[in-house]
Amino acid sequence: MTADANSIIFCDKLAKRYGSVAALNDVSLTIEPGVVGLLGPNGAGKSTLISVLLGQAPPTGGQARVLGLDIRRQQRRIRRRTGFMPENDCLIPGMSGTGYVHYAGRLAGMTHADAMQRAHEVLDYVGLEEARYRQAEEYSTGMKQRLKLAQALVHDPDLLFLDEPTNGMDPHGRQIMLSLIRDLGDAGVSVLLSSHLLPDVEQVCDRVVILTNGDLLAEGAISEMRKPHPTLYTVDYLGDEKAFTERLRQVDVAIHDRVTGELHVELPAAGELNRVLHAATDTDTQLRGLHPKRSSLEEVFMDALKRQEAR
Amino acid sequence: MSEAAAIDARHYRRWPGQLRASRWTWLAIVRQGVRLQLREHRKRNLLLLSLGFTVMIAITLYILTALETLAGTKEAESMIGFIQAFLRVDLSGITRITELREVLWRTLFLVISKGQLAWVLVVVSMIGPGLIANDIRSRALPIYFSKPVTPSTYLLGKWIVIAIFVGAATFIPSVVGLIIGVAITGGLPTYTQNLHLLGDVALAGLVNMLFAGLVILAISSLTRDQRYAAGGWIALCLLSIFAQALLTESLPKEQTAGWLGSISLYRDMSVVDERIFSVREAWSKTDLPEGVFNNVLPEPMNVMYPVSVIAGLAILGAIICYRRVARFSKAAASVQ
Repeated sequence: MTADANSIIFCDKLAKRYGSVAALNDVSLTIEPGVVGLLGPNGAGKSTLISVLLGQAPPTGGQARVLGLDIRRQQRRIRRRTGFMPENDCLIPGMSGTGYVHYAGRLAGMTHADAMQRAHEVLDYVGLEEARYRQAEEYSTGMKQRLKLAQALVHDPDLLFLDEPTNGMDPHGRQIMLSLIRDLGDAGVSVLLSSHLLPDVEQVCDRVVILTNGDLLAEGAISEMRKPHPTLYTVDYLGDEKAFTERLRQVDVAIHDRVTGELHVELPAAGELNRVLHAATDTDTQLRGLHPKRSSLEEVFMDALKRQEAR
Repeated sequence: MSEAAAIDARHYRRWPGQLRASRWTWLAIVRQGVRLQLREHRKRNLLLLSLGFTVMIAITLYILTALETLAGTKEAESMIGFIQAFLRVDLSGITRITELREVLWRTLFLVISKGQLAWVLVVVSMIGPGLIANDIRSRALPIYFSKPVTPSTYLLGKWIVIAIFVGAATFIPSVVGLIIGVAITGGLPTYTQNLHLLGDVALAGLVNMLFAGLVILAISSLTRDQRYAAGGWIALCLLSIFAQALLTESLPKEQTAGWLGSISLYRDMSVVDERIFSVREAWSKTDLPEGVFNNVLPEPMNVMYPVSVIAGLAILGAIICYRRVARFSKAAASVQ
């Protein structure tokens, strides 16, 4: 297996053992630039994978490259070009928001002036401009999460490792964080987003990597992984709702949900779309769309886990 | 406009600048460490109090200079009384004080360095314990090790922080005192005669920085609570003194001349300082009776014992803190 020139992460039979415990089992994968979700239950090896890719923990087998750099020999260069947002609080007591981000910039190798200017810039970007001079310990959970993102961004990395970035945030703060991640992806910063919250991953990621017990379970584009459901459909229509729904029920099509002009239906068996078409014809209803419902990322994830358990 | 909407309206801008070579990252750790320490009044006051040594040196050198001028007069006798009390040496009958200038200056700096050893215990117990322990407690280590910072760079930065404070409490007051002393006595001969003291003071300060710095970093890396680290440091120093006193009382003198005489870290450092300032050697070159300086100097012993203890503890400290920090760095992404 050889590294693709465009890949941001390339692993070939990457292994990491802690004594007799295998944290990563011959993981081989290639990740293209973009926003990629890293999924897996607790103890799946997500944090170990990030640690190994950052060059912090040496692998016990295989090889890997991050941004084309060897994780065994070029750890410092990797860390100059990557940013890491840890899951836990990692604030240094006694520092203001600006001081903290400035310090992170200095640690990354920025000059004092550059780090200060950039600290203000990224704090503005993450929406902490008003609180920049306050002590970081006084920040709310959401603000702390955004501060951690700011320190990871200060040296403008090409690749960001985000570990549970929305952890402990309220829905509003979560949306802010997700919109920032989406924007980073649009700006050309690749993101590896490790999260338990599948809707978050589904909302911002193009691709996902699923790990469990140190094994790579699945990897690919979310759009390809979310398979069309054989019996669940969304029907867009124009016509008499009452007559149409009545007719559908008569032909054994169950209606799960309805909003104006849209029905979520379940066919009695796969391939029996004719029942919906006939019901529309019978009630003079104009069909504007008939889309199979796609499985959610959660279903994809659970299926992958079940397949692994069955092996 | 809501906050989310406001953030939606912002777009990330790439930074066109260049990063510096990562070998300078220790400097950032030093600057930040010193700045954080100096924010506290009590730590700033600690450094100001260290200037007390400068004042002591300056006053004593002023008196010694005055004695040289007033040699043989009644005023000189009362001044000698003061110096005897301060240096704890018997100077009765000394009339050739100008000839004894070098040996008296050496003795003065040894006495000051012994006082500074006790002061280092206080300074280190206030500055050092949190250096690594606070980073462990606040889980800040992933921030360091996700940047191009290695365990060695991190420890170098932290060691320089403690070294700066130990130096500011010992080396700088002594050097300033020496400069003032030379200025008071005036003239190039005094300067050239005592130039070696500058090197001696620097060497004694370096020994303090290495030993105290590495040992406190090791203790600090073993806990996430800086109070435990401070307690550990104080206990190590004081218990070694008490244990030594106990052994000295209970064992014959011959037995405490070797390893058993090197348990007290304070005594070990004193022996090393005595050797650095070469006070015993300088006194022996004078025609004053032997024993005049016994109150000032530690018991004569083979310097290899205390040097081995100090070097051994410093090396052990370096190994412990490196291994601890390296362990954290390897799991920085998953530090919980």
